Amino acid sequence: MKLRQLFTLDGVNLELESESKDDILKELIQLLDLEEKSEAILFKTLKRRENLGSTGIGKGIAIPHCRSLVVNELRLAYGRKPGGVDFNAIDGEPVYNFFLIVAPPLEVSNQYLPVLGKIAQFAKDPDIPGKLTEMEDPQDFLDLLEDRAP
Amino acid sequence: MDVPLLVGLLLGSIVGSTDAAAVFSILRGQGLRLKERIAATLEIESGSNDPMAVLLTLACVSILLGDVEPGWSLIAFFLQQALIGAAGGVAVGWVGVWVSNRVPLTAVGLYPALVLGTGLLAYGLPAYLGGSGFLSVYLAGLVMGNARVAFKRGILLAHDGGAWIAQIVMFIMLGLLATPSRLVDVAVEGMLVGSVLMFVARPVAVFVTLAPLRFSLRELAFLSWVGLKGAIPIILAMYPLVLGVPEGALLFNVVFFVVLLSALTQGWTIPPVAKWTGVWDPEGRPDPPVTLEINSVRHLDGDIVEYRVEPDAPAAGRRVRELALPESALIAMIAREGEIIPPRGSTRIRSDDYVFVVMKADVRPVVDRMFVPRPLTLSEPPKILELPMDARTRVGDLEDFYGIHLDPDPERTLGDLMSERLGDELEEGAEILAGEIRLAARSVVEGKVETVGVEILLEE
Repeated sequence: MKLRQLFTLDGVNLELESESKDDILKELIQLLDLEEKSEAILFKTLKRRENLGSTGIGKGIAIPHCRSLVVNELRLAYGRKPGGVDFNAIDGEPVYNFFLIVAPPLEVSNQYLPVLGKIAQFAKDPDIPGKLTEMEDPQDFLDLLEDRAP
Repeated sequence: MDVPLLVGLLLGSIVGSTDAAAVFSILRGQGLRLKERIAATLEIESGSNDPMAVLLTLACVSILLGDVEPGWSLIAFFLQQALIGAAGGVAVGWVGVWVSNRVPLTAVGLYPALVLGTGLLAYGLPAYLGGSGFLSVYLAGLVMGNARVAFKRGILLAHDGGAWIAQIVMFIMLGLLATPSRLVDVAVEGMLVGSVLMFVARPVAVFVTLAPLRFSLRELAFLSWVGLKGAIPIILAMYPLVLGVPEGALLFNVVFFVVLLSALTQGWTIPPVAKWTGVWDPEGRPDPPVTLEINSVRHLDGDIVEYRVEPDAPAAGRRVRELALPESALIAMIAREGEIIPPRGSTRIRSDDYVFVVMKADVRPVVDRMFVPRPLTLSEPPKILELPMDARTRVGDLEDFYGIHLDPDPERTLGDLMSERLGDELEEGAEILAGEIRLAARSVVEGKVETVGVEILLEE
């Protein structure tokens, strides 16, 4: 499945406002449009994952991810923080682009790891960070995926 | 020999059938294995030409005895025999499979009896309806032998024993019917017939039929030579004798002579000819030193599969516990150079080991991949993403986050797991594979891993 098919316009926010890692995670979670209780559970799980090791993979990109019962299918969201935020990324640089991946614990199609890999592949392309910065509205993000993402 | 053309045709029909089983057993005795294509060709030939030889023999005998007129009625006779025989054999075979899997028999000894009964029925029913019983029983055997039948192992053993007894009885019968002193009388004729068969008839037939199939000249030469005659021609030669064809006794003696000649000349030269023509497979695998047998009376959703570990297979050189086998698969036994090794987690699997895996049928493809060599690029798939992780992370957490199966004990830490699995080989960069991800030791301080790289591998 192509990455483009896994994102929706509602799941894209080009103007994240938070200034801390925790708040960024919360803002990203809101893009999934879950119940309040589920949001809290998901935040805890993501936080737990981040504590084991940051998902900031460098070059201003982070891919927070986990498996959780609060979703019943693979869900993705994208957020952009124009000024960047400290995310304990492996290169120590601030992170501007966030890709959130949440999968149910038992996933029949087993898309989770491949999607994680595809996002990394997409984000590693040298001119993608520049293109992400230039986007003006959420549709631009979907178009970029359509054009360039595996 | 001064016989009518039709008797000549009858002789041809009788000695036409070849015995590939004998060829294979001679080669096996010498530790030789044929290339797969050659072996398959011979197998199909010998399987299909027996029923045909029976049909032709019966047809010739019927004409000689005046039962059938040559012409359309003969062709009709042929078609009737073949069609009813084939249809009957397949049908009875299917019914046999169905019955043996549906009817629960309390005594396992009844399964071979059931199959034997099916075989008799497969012969008798089409024969009664005017079809070829030989063709039918052969096809019924093919159908049943290739289906999943309850207690198959036991059935095969029982029938193997039966087949040996039948062969012994057959040879005693032959001995009773043959008179060695009369063989001398037909020596010249027998020599002639045998030589023409070996050096003219079979080579021509092989070259003409196999020419379009791109066999090499050497392969064709080998196939021409291995027209070994077995017991079938002698059995068939009894037909005219018993049914009262005037030249019956002469035919029987000639056939007996030809079979003896074939066994003496072709039989013992098969191994050198196989080597000389290069049709043997130098990398052919020897048979495993042991086999693990499972006798299931019912259908079970599971198999015991035997693998020979190829040198480039992912499993080669790894410890059992590093294999990340699916939960419904278990290594039951390892056989290595005539020794049986009870597998433990720390047992290292070597190439050329025979590994017996008990598994549910649905995980077979996953397990297959571990023992079959993969191209180099795939055996070490490139990583696409590496995420750093604290070595104190619990195995259970990593399993939860990534949906993989790593270790039965979720409370252990990744660091401990890597120390145990890698042992002395633990150093920076050392890796263990766990399904779709690979764990790499990233910073090792005083023999302990502090950070583990969780590598997400590129999909195939």
